[in-house]
Amino acid sequence: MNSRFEKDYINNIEVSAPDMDKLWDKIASSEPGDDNITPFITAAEECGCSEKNRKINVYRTIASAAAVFAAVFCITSAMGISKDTAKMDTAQDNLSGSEANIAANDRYDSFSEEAYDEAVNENSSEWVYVTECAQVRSYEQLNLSDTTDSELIGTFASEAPEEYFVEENVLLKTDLFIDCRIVSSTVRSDGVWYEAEIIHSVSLSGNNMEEETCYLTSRSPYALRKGREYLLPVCDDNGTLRIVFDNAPQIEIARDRTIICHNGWSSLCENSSYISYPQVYADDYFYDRMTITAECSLEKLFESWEALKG
Amino acid sequence: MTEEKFSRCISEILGGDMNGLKEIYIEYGKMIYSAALQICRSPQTAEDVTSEFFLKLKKAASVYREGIGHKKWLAASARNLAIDHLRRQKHEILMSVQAGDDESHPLSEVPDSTDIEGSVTSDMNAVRLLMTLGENEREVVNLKVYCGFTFSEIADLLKIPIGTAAWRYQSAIKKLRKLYGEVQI
Repeated sequence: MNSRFEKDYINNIEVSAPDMDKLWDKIASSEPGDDNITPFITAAEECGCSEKNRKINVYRTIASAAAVFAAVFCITSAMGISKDTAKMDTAQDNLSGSEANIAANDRYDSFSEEAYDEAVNENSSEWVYVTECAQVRSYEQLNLSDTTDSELIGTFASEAPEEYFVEENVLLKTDLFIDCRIVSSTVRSDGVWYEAEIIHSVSLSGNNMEEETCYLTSRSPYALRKGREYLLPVCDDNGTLRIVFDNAPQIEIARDRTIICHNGWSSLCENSSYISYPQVYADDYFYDRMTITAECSLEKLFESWEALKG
Repeated sequence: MTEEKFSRCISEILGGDMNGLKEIYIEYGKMIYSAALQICRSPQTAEDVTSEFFLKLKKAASVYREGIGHKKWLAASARNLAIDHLRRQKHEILMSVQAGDDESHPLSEVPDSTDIEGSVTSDMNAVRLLMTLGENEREVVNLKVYCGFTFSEIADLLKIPIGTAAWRYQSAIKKLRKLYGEVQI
């Protein structure tokens, strides 16, 4: 929350507020007035209800996570898994309640698409955040757009630079996020060129892209698939749009607005759950680090981005 | 202010000690004022609501229960009180606006309209620009930017889905930043 508008707004409120000392003197010397405290009673009831519901959800999550921990412990003990793999398992301890539901009930459940459609119809010209997430265990079970690309085949398996994904570094280099659908791809000697249909763009300056399509280039084993929707962190490289960190699967958006991303995106992983994901190539670092989360988690990503870029 | 400190202040108020009320006033007085201002759109009315709020809090302290979130309770109470006040004073506010009394209602000339482009002038500051938005967007921006609530808390306060709170904030802040950039040039 570092933009000029927000700072000036807070300053303006502080400056234009009444003389608080004088107001206090008036309060301290005034008679209590009428006894009607209904606004406070109503507020207490409303806050009490929402707090109760939140606690119930927390208890459910804790109970579910405990059940999953117990299941994982039993499985790893039985299989005698090596130390390294055990470390990887314990790294996946940010399990959500949905993971336990999947463990207990091996079937695909989609949240109410009617609710999503209703939200979209209500605000058809705006980007509507969906607050629910699909409850699945694997990438293939997600409600994804059709694609003519048969597999997640790496394009330049050995030429992608060796880098570790650090969210902060990526966000600092990101000029804007583009929510787009891949229309076509062309393989050239300098990389893959994607033509993308822009659905939405988000920039900190407020100057969003007005074009309907854009061209992006990437040298990565993780190809973007035709027909699929992605949220791409992009930088402007002398007029050429480049994906900021392309040596990883990009943030993908399913048709029900479920967000698919690797766990390097810490801003998105607070309320996420792990899914199985196809291994793209032999040295694929991310296939066992893929998660899903609700679309409303994007607000945290954008807040982190704003905080870093200032 | 921590929950423990707030509970201590409440106990002091219930015991007849005004120090507890003053500590809450010092901490949250401007937050209550800003929340009332978004509803009433009049600094004078917001000031009256703030005054009424703390007068009533002396008696309403007995209503507070630990665990419901004191800051959220205060904001929700302020909102409810401002809405009640506005309903009672509606006729008086309309008369003041028509009289064009700029000194007492400097924001009354700003129309409560989404016709933002028609409302923006070069001498508008951030608060005035906010007043050019619709009430729904205005409240969310104030609760988020000035009061520091999360989207989850805002959703509870306004009884809307989290996604809707986030969407209103995003679209409002985009409009405001663009306008604010134009105004500042």
